[in-house]
Amino acid sequence: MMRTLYALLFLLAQPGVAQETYSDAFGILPADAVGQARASWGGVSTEGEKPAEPPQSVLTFIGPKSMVAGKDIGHAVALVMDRFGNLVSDGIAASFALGPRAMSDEVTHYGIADVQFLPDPNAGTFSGGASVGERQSPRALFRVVASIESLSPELEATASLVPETFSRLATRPMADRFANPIEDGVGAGFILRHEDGTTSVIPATVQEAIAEAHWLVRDVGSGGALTASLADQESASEPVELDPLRAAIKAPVRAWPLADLDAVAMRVGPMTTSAGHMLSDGAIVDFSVVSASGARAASTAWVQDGFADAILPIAPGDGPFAVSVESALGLATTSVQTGLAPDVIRRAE
Amino acid sequence: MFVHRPFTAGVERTDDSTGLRLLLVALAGVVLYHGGLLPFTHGNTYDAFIHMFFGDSYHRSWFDPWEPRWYTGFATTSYPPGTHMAMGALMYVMPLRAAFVVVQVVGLLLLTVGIYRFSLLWVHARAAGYAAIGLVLASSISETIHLFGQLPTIFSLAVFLNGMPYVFRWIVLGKFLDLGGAVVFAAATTAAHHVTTIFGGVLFVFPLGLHALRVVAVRKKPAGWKRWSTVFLAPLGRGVVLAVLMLAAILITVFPYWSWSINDPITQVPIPHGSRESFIERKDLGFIFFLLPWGTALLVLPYVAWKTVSTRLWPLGASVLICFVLGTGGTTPVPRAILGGAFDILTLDRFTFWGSILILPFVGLLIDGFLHGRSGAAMRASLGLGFYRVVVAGYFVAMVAVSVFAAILPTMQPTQPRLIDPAPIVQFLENDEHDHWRYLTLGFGDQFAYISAQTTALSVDGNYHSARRLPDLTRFSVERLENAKYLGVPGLGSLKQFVVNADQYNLKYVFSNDEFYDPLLHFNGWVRLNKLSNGITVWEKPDVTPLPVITPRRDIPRVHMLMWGILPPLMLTLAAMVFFTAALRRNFGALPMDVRPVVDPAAGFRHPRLIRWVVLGALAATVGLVGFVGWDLARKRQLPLSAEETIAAYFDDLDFRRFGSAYDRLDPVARPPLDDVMFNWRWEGGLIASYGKLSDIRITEVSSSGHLADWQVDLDWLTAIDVRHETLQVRTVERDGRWFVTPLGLRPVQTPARLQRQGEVAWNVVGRRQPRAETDLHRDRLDRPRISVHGLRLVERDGRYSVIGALTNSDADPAMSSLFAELWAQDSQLARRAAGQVMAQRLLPAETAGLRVDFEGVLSLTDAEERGVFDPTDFIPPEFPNPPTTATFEARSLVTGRDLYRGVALNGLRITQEAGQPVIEGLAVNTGTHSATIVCVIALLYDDDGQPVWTEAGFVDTNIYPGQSSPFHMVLPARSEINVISDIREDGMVVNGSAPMRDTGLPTAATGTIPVDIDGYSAVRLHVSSMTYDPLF
Repeated sequence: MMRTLYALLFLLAQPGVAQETYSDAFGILPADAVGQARASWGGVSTEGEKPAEPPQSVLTFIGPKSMVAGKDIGHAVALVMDRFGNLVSDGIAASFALGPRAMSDEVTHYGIADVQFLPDPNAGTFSGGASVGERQSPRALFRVVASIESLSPELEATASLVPETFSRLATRPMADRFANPIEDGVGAGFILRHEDGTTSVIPATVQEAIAEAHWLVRDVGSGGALTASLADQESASEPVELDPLRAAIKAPVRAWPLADLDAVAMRVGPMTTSAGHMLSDGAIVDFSVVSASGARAASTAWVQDGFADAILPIAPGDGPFAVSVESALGLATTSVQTGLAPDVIRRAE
Repeated sequence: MFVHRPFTAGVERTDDSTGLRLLLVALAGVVLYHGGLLPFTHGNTYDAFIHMFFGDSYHRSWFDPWEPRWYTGFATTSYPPGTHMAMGALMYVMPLRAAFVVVQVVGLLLLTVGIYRFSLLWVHARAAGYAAIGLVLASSISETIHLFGQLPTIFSLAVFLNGMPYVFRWIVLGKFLDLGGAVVFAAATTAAHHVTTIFGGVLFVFPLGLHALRVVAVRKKPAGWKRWSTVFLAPLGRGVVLAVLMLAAILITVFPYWSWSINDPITQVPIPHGSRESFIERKDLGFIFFLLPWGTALLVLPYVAWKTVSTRLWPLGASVLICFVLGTGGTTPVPRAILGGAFDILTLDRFTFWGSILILPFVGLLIDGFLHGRSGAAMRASLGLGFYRVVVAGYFVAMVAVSVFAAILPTMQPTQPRLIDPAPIVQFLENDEHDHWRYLTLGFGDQFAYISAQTTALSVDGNYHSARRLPDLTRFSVERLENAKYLGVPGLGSLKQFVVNADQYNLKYVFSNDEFYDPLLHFNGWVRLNKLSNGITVWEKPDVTPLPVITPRRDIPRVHMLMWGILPPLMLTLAAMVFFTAALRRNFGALPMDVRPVVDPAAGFRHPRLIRWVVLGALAATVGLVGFVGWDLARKRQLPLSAEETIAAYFDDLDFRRFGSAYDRLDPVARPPLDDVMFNWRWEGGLIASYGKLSDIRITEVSSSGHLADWQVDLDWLTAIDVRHETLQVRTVERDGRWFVTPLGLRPVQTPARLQRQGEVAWNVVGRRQPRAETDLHRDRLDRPRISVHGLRLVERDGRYSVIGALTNSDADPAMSSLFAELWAQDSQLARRAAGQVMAQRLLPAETAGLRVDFEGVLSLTDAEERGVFDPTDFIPPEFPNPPTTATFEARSLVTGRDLYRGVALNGLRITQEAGQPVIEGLAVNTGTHSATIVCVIALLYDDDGQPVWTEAGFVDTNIYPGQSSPFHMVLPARSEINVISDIREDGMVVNGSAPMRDTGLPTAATGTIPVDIDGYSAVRLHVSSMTYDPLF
């Protein structure tokens, strides 16, 4: 039975024939079944193609967005399209307006006309566009910017630094070799290498061609050498002075016992300065105490309203105490004996 | 046909009728109580929204189980679809949330009927009716529905219990119709939740089978061994046949699920679950997973034990007790010994839930006895009618109270964030082609699933951890990225992988409901766009590649799709038909079943007086126990803390924002008023106080004298960026035998200027914010700004490979950069990673900063198991076939106009060397006019040859208001720790898609740097940037 079936199938089968096929993104099919339109999609045939109609719209792109004066070459490109959005055919003339310059005699290739140009070395924002026949493109803007590479920062003279005030650090106005001022918003920095071996890093931004920072002078012990840096350029260093504060009079130290804690409270102040005001709030004061028996204790406090308070874990009866007080006003030593607490004295008065 | 009947026919009819009436009461209770609460409670539950998401998935595509919206795509064949398809079908006539409520209520109604029918197999009808009422008031049901939001568990158990009578009758009577019913219900149960069928087979069917055999024995009354064997052979055979067919039903109904499980096994580090913890150590978990679900049923356990050893109910009682033991989780070693390896996979509260259901026939019997039986009579006789009423009413009130407490617990103690309106998020995703990228939500809780259900946009995260396969997700024991901060270092580590390598996952948008993540996002190059009308903040990662038009998907066989789309709903439909046909045939219960359980004859109490002593004794023991525990707790609270304990408690209070309690621990003599102290706490804010979570505290005594003691307190704070170490000097004072912390004051620096006037440059990158409808116009696009990467080197430190170097903005406009590095060994690429927080993401023109791209491997599951304990802080060295020899680099940039504040200076920096490591200390001073919430310092170290050799990021711990300052401390690695493998040449760099170009010169180690005198290093370049969003507290 099966043999008969196989025999029938064998007789019915047709011989294999090589066939030309056409394949595209939509599948594979015999070449003779392909329509003209479909053949033209894949570029097999040009029979289904129609030439583009006359130019209807022009789009212009100009780059790069910010050209470095005297260095960058600009590139303007016009896309010319017919009313259906097809790119127009080759050889259509286009002209470009690029800021103060005009360039014509460019022709389209594959619907695109382009031109490379060296912009004038004057920094600024310029408008451009392309024209094809009577058709014009929308406006395209491009910028020419100062060449940062060609400038070097120079420091403006800096006034003496005063602790707890804002000091202005600035460069002189910076311009490139074409006298273009450097753009606003460029990042710069100041580095102040203090005489005590520490360093302060102060970021700055450029405004009106000047790199400027308003630096709050806090917790710095000395002046030093200031430099400004911008990109790979660094200014020569300039010395900067710090006006140190000096004590107007030696600040008195008072001590009183804290019997319930078996400790001694100490207060230094008022801490007056030669500048005519008390030492600033928040200034650091280090207490170091040695009792009569040689016991030591130390504590750090901050000045508030001219006084600094500390509680020292040292027996109140072990006086007198040798006290060292170190602050922005320098090191002061004294010997104190415990007495009445300030609030007790105030109440008594 | 009838088994043993202890009552007369008339009594039985009355009993059946009473049972049915009680069932009706229970059904009404379900609708009024649970049905009334559900619309308000389901939004606060853990799982409801996840099931809704699955329901929405089937509504959108019934037959295609590939769901691309979570985890870069997963198959919904990973969870049985019955209830989800029911919701999906209902969505044609009602909204998603309503569909969920309807399916849940239907499941509850079915469960009530099911427990009645199941109880009828063990106890008489009236007791079964009370069991149904017991179900309505069961705290486990309240908790499962109103706290956990579990739908398939309820629905599948409901279907399963309704199939139990068929199982019983098939074994006893051997009718094939019953066999068919039993198999259909087993298949339908599997369609809703396969685990119920599998464990139900052991916990429900096996005891019922034993019970059925006893019924057979009573009916046939065998005598002699041969007679016994003959009588039991047939029902045993029927049991085996049923088991085989049920197994087949389980396999066939959800065959694609089994295929998925086998072909795509879960390679996941075990995720901790509270139900596996020791409930003695974690009493909070014990309360949620054990005490609350058992509720008043715990009081019935002694009764169960007694009935188990004394009556025919022993198989059911044994099952209850097994569930009780397994439900204790890690409290004892017994559950682990019984379950073996499954212990780490199963959630053991499931056993407690089943136990609380299995116990209901006992509960019904007990209540029936109290109200109508001899136990009630005996109690009335021995303790009087008043006391009896107090006991009965007390038990009922306790049931109601615990059940209502469980239902409203999420309202009292919210477990989810406030309700988030999904509409603005959905609208955002639909607008301007935002759904061409993936998104991520943070701080949404389980509402993330509901948001996902409202949109077709895709997320890298998901809410069904069993389905995820991305190694970055499965390497950590983290359930989902969304709540990463609650999972400590592993959670944030997992989240960081996605935040940093966003481009790899086409992840562009983050919707944040939690400011904790702000630093992580900001310092990894994300931009805060705006706040939506629902209060959610949208973050965007610029320059991320959009999703491909065709996303990859798993090829699921067509036959699986058909099976999945047809069989489960078919089985549920068949079970419904069987159910309603049987209900009609029995006239909705008016006609009794043709086979009834054996009910033991009632025996009188031999010692009625004993009841009085037992009840009163139990009462006295309970009062005594509660009193002792209360006294002990009060005594412990009164004990004064040591100085160390006081310090630890103080910081713990601050961490948990218990400011009143923290204030009470401050020295009462020295502390200022509470408002002043609160001001101090608020003032600091910043990375630690506002965004940190205390993870460890170490207290070391510095000095002690009398009633004063000074301590060094080392605190580890988990922040979104990293683990921060803070060292404080703390003083404690002892007053009247109690230790107090001396207030930690603020440094009272004064901002010098009362009015600070400064000019600043601002940018506006317009983009497509134009009054035209087009989504994209070429002319609105800005060229990429020119950036330069230089001094790039491949280095190795402690087995970690990194690419380091410098990045310069060589353009005239500010740049936002994305950096990528690829490791190569000869000609084969090993790995590709993006730069994270160790780079300056935003650079002003002409600025230069260091950069570092780190390469980390992915922990294999085998390695994790070999290590025994998974240490989330471990660095996983990447596994490469060959060690990397070089690297290539890609940099891209966009013009940006935001987050460019440069007002923070570093004053008085002192760079010292400690054990070869450079240590930078100084004061960060805000000299500008914006509040610097978090300040980041990027340090680029140059070696002796002036070449970059390492980059590190440091952060200032507190926020800095204008004119204020904060200490800054940073430790860098010793030069000897760093091994330079190779320099990366310029031909290995692609910048903005082409060869590097620049407008400026590139600074070297000699320009804008601080020279250092440290072994192996010549200079350091510091770049300071700030996050300036409003400070939090």
